[in-house]
Amino acid sequence: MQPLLSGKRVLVTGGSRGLGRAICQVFARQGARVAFTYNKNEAAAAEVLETIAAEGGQALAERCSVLDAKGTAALVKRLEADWGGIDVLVNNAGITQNLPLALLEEEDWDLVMDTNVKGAFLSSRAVLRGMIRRKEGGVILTMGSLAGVRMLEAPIHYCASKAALVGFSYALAKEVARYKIRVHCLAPGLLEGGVGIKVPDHRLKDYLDNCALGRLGTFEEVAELAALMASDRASYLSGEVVVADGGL
Amino acid sequence: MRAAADFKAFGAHVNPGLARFLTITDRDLRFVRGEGLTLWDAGGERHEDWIGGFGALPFGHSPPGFAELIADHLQSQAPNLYSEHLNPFAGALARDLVAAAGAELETAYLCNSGSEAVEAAIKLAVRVTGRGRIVYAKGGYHGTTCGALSCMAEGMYREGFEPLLADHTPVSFGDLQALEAALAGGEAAAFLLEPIQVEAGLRFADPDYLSSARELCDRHGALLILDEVQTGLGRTGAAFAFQDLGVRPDVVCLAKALGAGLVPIGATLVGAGLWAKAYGSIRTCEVHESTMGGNGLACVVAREALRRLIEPEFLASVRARGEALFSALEAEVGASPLVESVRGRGLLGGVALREPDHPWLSWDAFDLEELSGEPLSGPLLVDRLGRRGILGQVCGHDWSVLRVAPPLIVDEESCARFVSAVGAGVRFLEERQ
Repeated sequence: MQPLLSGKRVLVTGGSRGLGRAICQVFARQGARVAFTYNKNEAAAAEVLETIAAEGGQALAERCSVLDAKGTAALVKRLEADWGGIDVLVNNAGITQNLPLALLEEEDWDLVMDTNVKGAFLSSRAVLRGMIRRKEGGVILTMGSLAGVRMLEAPIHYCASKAALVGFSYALAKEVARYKIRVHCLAPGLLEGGVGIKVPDHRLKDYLDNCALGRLGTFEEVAELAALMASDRASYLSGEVVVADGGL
Repeated sequence: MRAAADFKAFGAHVNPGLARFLTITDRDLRFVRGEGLTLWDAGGERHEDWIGGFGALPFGHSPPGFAELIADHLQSQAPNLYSEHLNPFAGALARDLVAAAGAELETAYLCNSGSEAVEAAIKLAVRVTGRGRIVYAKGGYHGTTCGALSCMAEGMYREGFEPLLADHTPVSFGDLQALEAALAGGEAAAFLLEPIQVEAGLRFADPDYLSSARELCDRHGALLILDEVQTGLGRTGAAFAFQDLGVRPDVVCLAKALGAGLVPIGATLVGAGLWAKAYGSIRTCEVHESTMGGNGLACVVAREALRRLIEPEFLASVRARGEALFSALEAEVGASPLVESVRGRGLLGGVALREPDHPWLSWDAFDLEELSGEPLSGPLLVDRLGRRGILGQVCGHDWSVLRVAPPLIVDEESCARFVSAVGAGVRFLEERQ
């Protein structure tokens, strides 16, 4: 069987660590040409490139904040020039802060909302410009969170940002459907090594007690699902929020 | 940083509980480089280290000159261990230590930590006096080995380890009547205390209290042991805190700064004739020993650290910097309703806080119910400092006090940033309550 993403040209934001790293690796394994951005950790980015290259994949990394609109636009233009276009954008870059309401400051709110929501908007707008012009369709896959679709005890600015991405995905799906561009939001539950590592033990236990599969997910599992959603095999899927939480 | 480092393995194989706590509280920073007060994390962010290894980093991280000193020593191929032979490096260090201390101290037992230095002091006192009871000041922190812990009256360090050593007797810090009563039976081998109780929230012994304690010890045949693990070696602006307090101890315990943050070392300085009385015979001369204690490398580093720490100009700079720092802190936050007091001597002090009065500022509200009962004010201020890139910590026995004990090489700009951050943090908490 042909790899899921054979020949696809993919840009992943925030690809040097965690889920973003797994997405880059799985997408490359599934035949995609992958470019990813990272914010600071050059060594981590180099590791991802090495891993992908060792598996025979193709990838490149660029240091660029998702809040750097000019930098993002320049990167997209360069990729379009080199590759002839971008087929898939994965809005993965995001942050959280483990802050209760009492300690939350306006600047914290702005930082998380900007990075998680405005960042997805800026990257999507940059990619969609060329994607729409080429009339070849495409996929915008945005990483949400269970915290954006369920009532959880989690930092409110993080939850608000992830909920905003749901609305963002719904509206964008409708707006760009006419260009055969599909837009999804993938909302994982707690993952090993993910933001869930900051959850206190008793809340982790609650999660596991109520999770049908009785365990945390892995980055790889979510990345595999992301690859399917980004592939042509999910061609009738759009405007959907897919929750991957092991059955909560 | 070299490849042998593995941050993840710390959580799995060293201290899972600490790793988890740091993760939950967003303090799981991964430092890869340090110089002076500055630490750089893996993402290249700078942080300013005001914890300073709890006093063990007098010259900050990567102190200049020590790498060369260590390399020279190792390249000389001098033996590092002298298991059953004369150790010239231990000799040189011990000679310099007792010379710096004065006060008729003549012998230095060399070990690997402050706890060990206290253990050695306790055993020596028992051996010298033939008595088994140690009287100690409540609120002190002397280490976490069984003997040292037996001289810590209460708190989480002690919980779950009792009964520990029998007969050790706590007395209130500063209470001479209680001390006299505890010593009066003639069963006490020693009175053990710190001249400044750091972990109790920076409680300073009065010189009169110490001189009276000296008299009481003499009257009842007990030794006076001063734990200067945190206060000694320049921290208060004197070579040893006891020198400024006008008291003559029989035994002084040292560690932390002595190793310059590079080697584990502790020392127990012992008064004239006492070591000989305890361990002077051929039969007993090796009954209290440490395999690595006094190893050549540690002694070479410690001797250089000592040389730098007791230079008069260096001590004067510590006094001047400390006076400016604590004056500035007082001016910045002294009038705040959340601040009980600002106190310090040399570069050792604290900001004592009152608890904020709002239910949303509580351990329960932060989902850390297991810490209920502990003060939250200090940890909250530490958190605020962290958000400005300053690493701080509270006192171990009293979390309502922010400890202020930076590396002794701290400069004016760093102090200004710290004072500003403390001010911003206190004002933030005022607004939130």
